[in-house]
Amino acid sequence: MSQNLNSWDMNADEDTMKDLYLCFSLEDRDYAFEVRHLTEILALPTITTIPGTALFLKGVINIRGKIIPVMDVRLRFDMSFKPYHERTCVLLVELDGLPLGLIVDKVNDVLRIPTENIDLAPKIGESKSSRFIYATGRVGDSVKILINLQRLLTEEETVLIKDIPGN
Amino acid sequence: MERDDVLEYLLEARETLESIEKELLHFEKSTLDGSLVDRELLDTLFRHFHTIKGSSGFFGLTAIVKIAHAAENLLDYLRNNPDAQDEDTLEYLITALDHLNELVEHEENSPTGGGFFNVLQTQFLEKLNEKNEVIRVRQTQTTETAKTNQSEPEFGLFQNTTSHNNQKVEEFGLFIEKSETDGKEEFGLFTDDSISTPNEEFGLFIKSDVIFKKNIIQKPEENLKTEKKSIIKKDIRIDTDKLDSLLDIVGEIVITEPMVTDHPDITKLKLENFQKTALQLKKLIRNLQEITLSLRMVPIAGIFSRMERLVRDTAKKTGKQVNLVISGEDTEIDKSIIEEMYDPLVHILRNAIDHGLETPEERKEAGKQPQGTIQLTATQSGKEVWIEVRDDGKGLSREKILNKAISLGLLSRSDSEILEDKEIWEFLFHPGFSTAKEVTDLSGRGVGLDVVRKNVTTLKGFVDVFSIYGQGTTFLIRVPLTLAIIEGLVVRKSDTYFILPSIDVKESMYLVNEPINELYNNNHSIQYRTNQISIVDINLLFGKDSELNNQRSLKEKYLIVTESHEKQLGIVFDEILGNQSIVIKPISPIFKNINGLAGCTILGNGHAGLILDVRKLISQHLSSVTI
Repeated sequence: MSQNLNSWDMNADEDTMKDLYLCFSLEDRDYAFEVRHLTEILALPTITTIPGTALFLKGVINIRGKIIPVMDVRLRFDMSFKPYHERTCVLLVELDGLPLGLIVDKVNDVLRIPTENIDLAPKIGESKSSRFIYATGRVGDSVKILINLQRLLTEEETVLIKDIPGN
Repeated sequence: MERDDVLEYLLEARETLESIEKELLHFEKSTLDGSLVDRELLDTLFRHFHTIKGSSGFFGLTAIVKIAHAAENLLDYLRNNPDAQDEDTLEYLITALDHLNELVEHEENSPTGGGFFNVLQTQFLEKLNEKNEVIRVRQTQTTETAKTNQSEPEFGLFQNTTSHNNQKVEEFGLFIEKSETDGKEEFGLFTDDSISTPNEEFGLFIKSDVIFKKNIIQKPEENLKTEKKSIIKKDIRIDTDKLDSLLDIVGEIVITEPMVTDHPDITKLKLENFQKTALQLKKLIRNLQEITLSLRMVPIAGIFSRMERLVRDTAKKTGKQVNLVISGEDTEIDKSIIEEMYDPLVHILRNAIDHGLETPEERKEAGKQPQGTIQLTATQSGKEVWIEVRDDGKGLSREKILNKAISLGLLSRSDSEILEDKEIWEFLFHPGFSTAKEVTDLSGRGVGLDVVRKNVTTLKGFVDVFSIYGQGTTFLIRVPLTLAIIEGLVVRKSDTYFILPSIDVKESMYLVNEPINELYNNNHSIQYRTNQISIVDINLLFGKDSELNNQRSLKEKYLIVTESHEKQLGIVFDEILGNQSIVIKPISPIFKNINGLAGCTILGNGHAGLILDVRKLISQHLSSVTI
């Protein structure tokens, strides 16, 4: 018994984080990513645009003395730009040690999606935004689109950035 | 004894050893022409060795005590017999220093109780003691003072016998002042005959000594002097993590200050006294920020002086004569960068001596002075520190490098003709370009230069090489001053704040009455002094259309004239906010292809400001536009 308890303790942190997903919406679609990437959720601060970069990289923000780049996830997914409003949120995530702010329309909640409810996404064409999706998660009657955060910053994209006129 | 105390002491000891090294090199330099070394220099050296000896004894590091003691003896002898100086004695002192360094390092890494851990050390100590012995005999013969009572060299310090004869002057010169010896002697305060108790060893550190010796003549002013000296040298070591969090917090205070003092809730109230205090607070916070920012900056002198020793040793090994000229050593640079610069510099300097400089004979043949010169220079240039190693050796041989590159399959012979020299020197940084043996066949260079480049690149810096065959080679390392403060001009263009490093700014002017010439779309110029200079809108520099095309919008704008490499460019902004000290923060690597920005910063108003890389902007712009 005690042995079990110990092992439970040791993995407590991982276990509590496991299967937890942060859900947010863009338009009427629900997206989610693993909570362990999230550092904090912020109201949108002033953004300083960086000239000469891709449109979806909105610029940088100052979070308590740290300069952090922000990305508009709508633009990243090739959706149309929607003006920011009071409730626009920045999800601060950390990817491979790099902090990044994600601008999303609306943050919903944190959900537990057990592995058995996750289905790897079928290859749906080569559409640009489908590359960020790796799976779908069933929660009750609804389906959350699980996104691969790392893909948001892949190499091929930076090539695209380079190709933007003027760079 | 707490381990922490020992470690702290060892750090201190390292510092003292560094000073010893510096003094010894100075010693060598000043005696190169055969002149005698300054008495004062000997005193300083003596004092340093003594400090090491005393404190190490306190911590029970006997090996260090023994070597320092022997070195002290030798120095004391030199003080009294300056004629005895020769290369040999200097070499002894330098070797003693090396052993001390070794011992300190060993003690730091694997504490073993302070004994010797290496046969070489004990052998050296024996040799040094023998040397002292020989000297003593010689001295006795010449001065004919007393019988040659040989004290047992290693433990002479603790032996009573020595205190009964005149030899003690040598052995314990430190604690005894003979009437004829110089009153300035460092520890003259212990003027009585030495009573050989172990306490004497630590007499300096144990106040109770005073009680033992009632007939001590205290010289207060002397006492004061030594105390003062130690105060000047005092500094504190701080964990850099603590410093970083301090910086962050101060940054936050700076940003929060206007939020409080200009809080919308109070702006409409008349609060004269509040405003006064708020102003005072503003000033204080500004000072606080400046001081905090400068905490991480240290002069590059520390690392440069370590190079002196390296150059000396390498020159000795290779039989070359080198004059190392150091300048700009007070250039300040972030501590963490300085540490990373050590290895690259060692590499480059070694290469410069080993392969760059010719032997004295070769130099004579080439009509040069037999002594080669290596200039080690640091300068701050905008957001960068430039460290230059310039030798006047034989330079790089195009042919040899090309041959090597071809043999390695890096290029074909037909391509080799069209390459510029600059492109050829680049091969030197190719990994594996030279293996140890072939380097000497080659005109030199190449050993580990790829590593140098790698190290410097990790610091987001650059290494370049320039060379003229027969005249010498220059390595230029450019490293950013990350976290360093630069003075910058804060300007605004619509909603974005930009910072122009003050060093690049030549002049700012109001644009209202200046006639602007439009050559064609996106290409404008203005009369500046006697020249026509190109002017741009910041948008243009980042690939959008210039707003200057619409000249009506130009009223009430400001033109900042920037300059790099004597090329000028005017950039138009909406507003100038003033000069400010700026902390450079790197831009996230997510923005991969931005040229023209040197970094980010956080301005007093909480906005992120973009620091322009004026040099890059100018060279980019001028290469795309011709006036």
